[in-house]
Amino acid sequence: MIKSSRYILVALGILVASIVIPSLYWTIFEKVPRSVNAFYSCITDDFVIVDGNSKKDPSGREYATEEYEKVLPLMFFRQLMADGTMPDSLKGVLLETPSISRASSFYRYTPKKLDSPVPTLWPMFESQSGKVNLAMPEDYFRIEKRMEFIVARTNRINEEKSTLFTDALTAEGFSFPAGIIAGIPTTRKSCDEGYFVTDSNGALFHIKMVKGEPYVVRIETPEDLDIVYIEAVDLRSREFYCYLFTKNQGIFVVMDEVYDLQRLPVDGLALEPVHPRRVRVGRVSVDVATLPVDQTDRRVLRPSDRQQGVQLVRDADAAHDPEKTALRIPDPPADHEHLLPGVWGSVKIADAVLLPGGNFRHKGLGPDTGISDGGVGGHQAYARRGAPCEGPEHRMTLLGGLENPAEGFVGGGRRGGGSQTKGELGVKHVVEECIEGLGHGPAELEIGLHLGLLAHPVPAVEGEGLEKDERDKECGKEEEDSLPDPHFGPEAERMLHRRPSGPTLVSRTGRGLKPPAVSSAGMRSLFRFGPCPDDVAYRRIQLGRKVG
Amino acid sequence: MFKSTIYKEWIKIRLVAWSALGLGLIALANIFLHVRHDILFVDAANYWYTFIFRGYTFFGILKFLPFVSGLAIAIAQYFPETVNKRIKLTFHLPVSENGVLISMHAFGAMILVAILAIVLGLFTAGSAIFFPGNIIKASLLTMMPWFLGGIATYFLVALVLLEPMWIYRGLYTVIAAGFVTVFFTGAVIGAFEPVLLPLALATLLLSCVVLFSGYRFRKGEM
Repeated sequence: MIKSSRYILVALGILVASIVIPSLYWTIFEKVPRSVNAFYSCITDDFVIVDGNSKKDPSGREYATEEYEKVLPLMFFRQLMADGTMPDSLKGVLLETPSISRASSFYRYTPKKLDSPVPTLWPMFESQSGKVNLAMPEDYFRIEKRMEFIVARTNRINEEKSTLFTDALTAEGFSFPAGIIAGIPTTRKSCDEGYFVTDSNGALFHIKMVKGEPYVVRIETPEDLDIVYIEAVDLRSREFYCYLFTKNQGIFVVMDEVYDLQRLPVDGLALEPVHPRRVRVGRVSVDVATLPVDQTDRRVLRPSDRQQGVQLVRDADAAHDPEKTALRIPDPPADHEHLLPGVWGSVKIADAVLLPGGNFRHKGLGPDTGISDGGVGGHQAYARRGAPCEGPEHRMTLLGGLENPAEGFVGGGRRGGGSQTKGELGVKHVVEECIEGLGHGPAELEIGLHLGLLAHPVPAVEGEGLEKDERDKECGKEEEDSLPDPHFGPEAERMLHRRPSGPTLVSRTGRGLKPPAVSSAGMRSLFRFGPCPDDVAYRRIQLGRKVG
Repeated sequence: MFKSTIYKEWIKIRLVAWSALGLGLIALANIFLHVRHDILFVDAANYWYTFIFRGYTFFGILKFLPFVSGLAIAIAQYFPETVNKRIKLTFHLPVSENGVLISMHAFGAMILVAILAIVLGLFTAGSAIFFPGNIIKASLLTMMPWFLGGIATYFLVALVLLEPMWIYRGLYTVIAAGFVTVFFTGAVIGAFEPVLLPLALATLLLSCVVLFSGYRFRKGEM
């Protein structure tokens, strides 16, 4: 007994030392990582490498700040507008700054979220109250053996509502209890879209409350889609509802209204919870840009149009099956598949591992507009800490799949606001070229991909659109006022059923989840990333064990 | 003999034990009066919201209660024994030296655990009036490291106090401080769940380290 008490004391000493000493060590010796970011410019068709305050092209020529802004017009359009130097078109594509702004979104994925405790109670908002503002409900729901609403004031279960929702879920084949529940539990959002919930079998559901009634949709997903994290977003452009992070199939977005899953072209990501570590590790970020093309398309960006379209679809459906309490959105037409144009092609980040501390960004410039001939604009990658990706052999960013490169368009990107320095993950390998320069050892890596859209060149008739815009400006009119009322008439009808022509990106009929098609061998080769020459193994002491 | 040992220990710690329990009850009353008040003012749904999504811990004042209780009981129980090396008398009794120390220690730990259990039980009962099971569970998960930390404090302070040599006391204190700090690390609600079991096991193992101090004391280390 005495002996073992002595051993326990020694073990305790080691345990405490393994916590305190590494913490002290890193407090003293931790170095600020050098951040190097690479952007692809659609103006110069080349990279811009940003390292601290220096901005260079791959040949080493320095850009002045103004020059730098000019070569990345989508990133700095506000500044360029203020300077009066914003181009009115890029590669023959009409640029309309309000649309760029409206369709921009930003999302950062923090791997901490994978490991964090999650709430088990959520407020279910009324999504069509007819009021301008959302109201906080008086009850919270949980989905355990059934879906239960607990009224906060009385701390009792609302049996009637609980049964209503449980039945609606059961009718759609929900298997209790819920796995992940994701929504935006605040009234500070543009509208309510309820929750995205996985059941105990991993199936994905959309649940919300419409005029007091449950609205449940079972979202078709591939069988082995192992969703580990869902982030609901409230995009101004209403392009999609949420991001789905899967364990081994990458990242998807669930398209607004049609529940089509679109896979973001990021491969090789392993999203698994890791233990919190001080080790600062990798980041992966993705930018996706699509470009609205003409006046007609741009209108579709307006939330009011989209809302109207939604309503029409719903009404039509309810008319078909009025007894159904849970409204179902009909399958979209087979060719209604271009919802997130630009997000196709496949970029393989060989052996890159996205771990907590990762960073995922999406920049969507426009919804289902402007793509018809297909073509991926370009990608950008940026790496933090270490050497920039320089030299021709380091071009992992590329213009891919452009049958006619002259029509390609690539947006710029920007560094991912490097405040997130205390990442908690490790990256084993990174994208080949960039990573090579990073050296081996603890590194913080951020990879950004920015997809641009090849769009129609501005047709001659679009000139009218431009003139109209200018006319509106002169009259001081809001741009919306100048457009025909989109809610009624053949125009609304057309928009409701409009579908882009052009190549099929993702097949809905095959339940949508085929990897995005690659249009040409050229693209395939352009998107290829080789593995790292060596494993980049990270070893840092934490709690006395090797972290690798 | 066992009974007498227990009685002697009880005399030493009863004042501290009652005070700790009283403090706990006052803290609980304070918590629930505030919860009731706040719910009246901001509405229950909003109050729940602050807990679920803003991480507001309405039971925050309980954080250091177990620590203070463990510290106080250990001091009340072992400090008098170190004055003039009184514990020598105990060791000269015609019973197993380890056995008597174990019974002293077990009794102190039992009293501490009983106090903490009463506080936790009343907290759970009180919370059930205002909150659903999900919130109560998350609250208990959040408080559990604090309560384990209080028990670990008791064991480690006993170790430090019975140790005869000052240099060892210093070393033990450093280690004890490092370890106890882990329990009180700030974290979001429920964040400690994955480590609760390892921490509980470590705390359980610590229950016997006081024997080492007792052994060194008997050996006559100065």
